[in-house]
Amino acid sequence: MAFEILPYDPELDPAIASLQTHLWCGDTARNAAYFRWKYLDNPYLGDVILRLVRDGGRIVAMRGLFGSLWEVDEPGNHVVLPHADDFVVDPEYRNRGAAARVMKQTIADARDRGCPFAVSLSASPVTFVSSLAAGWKAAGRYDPVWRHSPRSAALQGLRDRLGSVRWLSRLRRVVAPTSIVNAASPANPFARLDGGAARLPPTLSLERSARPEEMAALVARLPWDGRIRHVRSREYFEWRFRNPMHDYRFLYFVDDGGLRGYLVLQRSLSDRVDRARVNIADEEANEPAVRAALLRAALDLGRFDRVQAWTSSLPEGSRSLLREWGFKPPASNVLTRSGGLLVFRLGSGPAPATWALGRRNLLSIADWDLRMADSMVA
Amino acid sequence: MGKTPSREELIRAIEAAGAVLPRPLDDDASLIRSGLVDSTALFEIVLWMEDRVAPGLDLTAFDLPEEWDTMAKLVAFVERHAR
Repeated sequence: MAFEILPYDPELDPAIASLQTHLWCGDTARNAAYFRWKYLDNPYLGDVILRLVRDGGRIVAMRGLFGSLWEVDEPGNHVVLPHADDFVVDPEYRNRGAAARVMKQTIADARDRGCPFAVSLSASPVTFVSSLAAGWKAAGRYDPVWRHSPRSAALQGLRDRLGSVRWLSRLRRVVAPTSIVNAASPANPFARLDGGAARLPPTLSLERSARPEEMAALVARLPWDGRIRHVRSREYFEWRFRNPMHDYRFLYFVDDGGLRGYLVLQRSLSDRVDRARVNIADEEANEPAVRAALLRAALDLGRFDRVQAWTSSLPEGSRSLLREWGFKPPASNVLTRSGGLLVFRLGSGPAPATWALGRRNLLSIADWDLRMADSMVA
Repeated sequence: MGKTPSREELIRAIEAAGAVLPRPLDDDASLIRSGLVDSTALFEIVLWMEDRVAPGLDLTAFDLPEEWDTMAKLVAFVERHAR
């Protein structure tokens, strides 16, 4: 099949926005804004690592890697890792070789930048499997937990039962596609939270924007054990939560000592994603009581249909707090197991016995201090 | 679980997943590395494997591009896991 593999060119922006209606959302203007934010406004890579497949005049597949900045062992020990995402193949062009070729060429581009490894934190189950097939290594799962309202729990129970039926994915797609789930869900899962903000105690506030300076200062003040984590600087917070595909709420705990904790909630604005789902995108607190107060405020006021948190990097105290609030792991099936952190070695030469960054093992999720906001899930 | 799926059932499952396989299909022809089977079709095969062959299939516990790349390897995988 004589596909052309093209590098990014701004003239292709409309075609990218259109192709991504198969993955990001049906609104091409939102797709264009998302692309601009993620790749062109990205603070960590000066150019765009992205490849497109063209057949005739038509763009039919894409894979990109955007910049992410990580630190390990000691503050200031930074490394840029390209973050792979946005893998999409036009349905008419699947199983024709386009996917493997675009993945391979994008990796070659990242290798040319001299980066040691690439990461992937946001792979859908389909992309997760394709990535394993392309040589990515799984480092572990995020241990997601969910809290469902009674209505949402009933729907989830139905989905889980279907999950035990043969050809679960096809049946589930027929019975509960995203559009039906969205039609049956509140238009804005933040409505109750927004409406209840006036009832927050004086130490807590709900806002729609990040406080980059204060949030970065809090992260810098708190102890860190040297696990691999995304750099959360003022620059990061200024960029990260301007994602036009998502909507965020920020709960802040402030007293005379300044900002003592924050909790970031996210919902998707895409018509291709469950719009009732709220994710805990990021959180920090200088003590357990602050963390508990932030979570209580979010859940009591928000009364969300479904909330997800990742727990793989949390200390036991935080996991326990989530359990007390009714968060539970999802039913285990191949869909819920087909996700997690993926790593690709870009370096040439013989592979070392351990893929390491500093003194940490890249292929061990225990060596990562991850937030959902490190991915594009939230 | 029923009897171990045959090579023909495996081929039918791959084709039902959307892949177009050459006929006759050489047992040693690359399926994944060649791009004959990719993205959604590969994922459908994962679902089929979990359903028909290996409940609790852990994709991270084996070398997928190596162990599933040809029909001969897929048949061997099925025979190993269906026991």
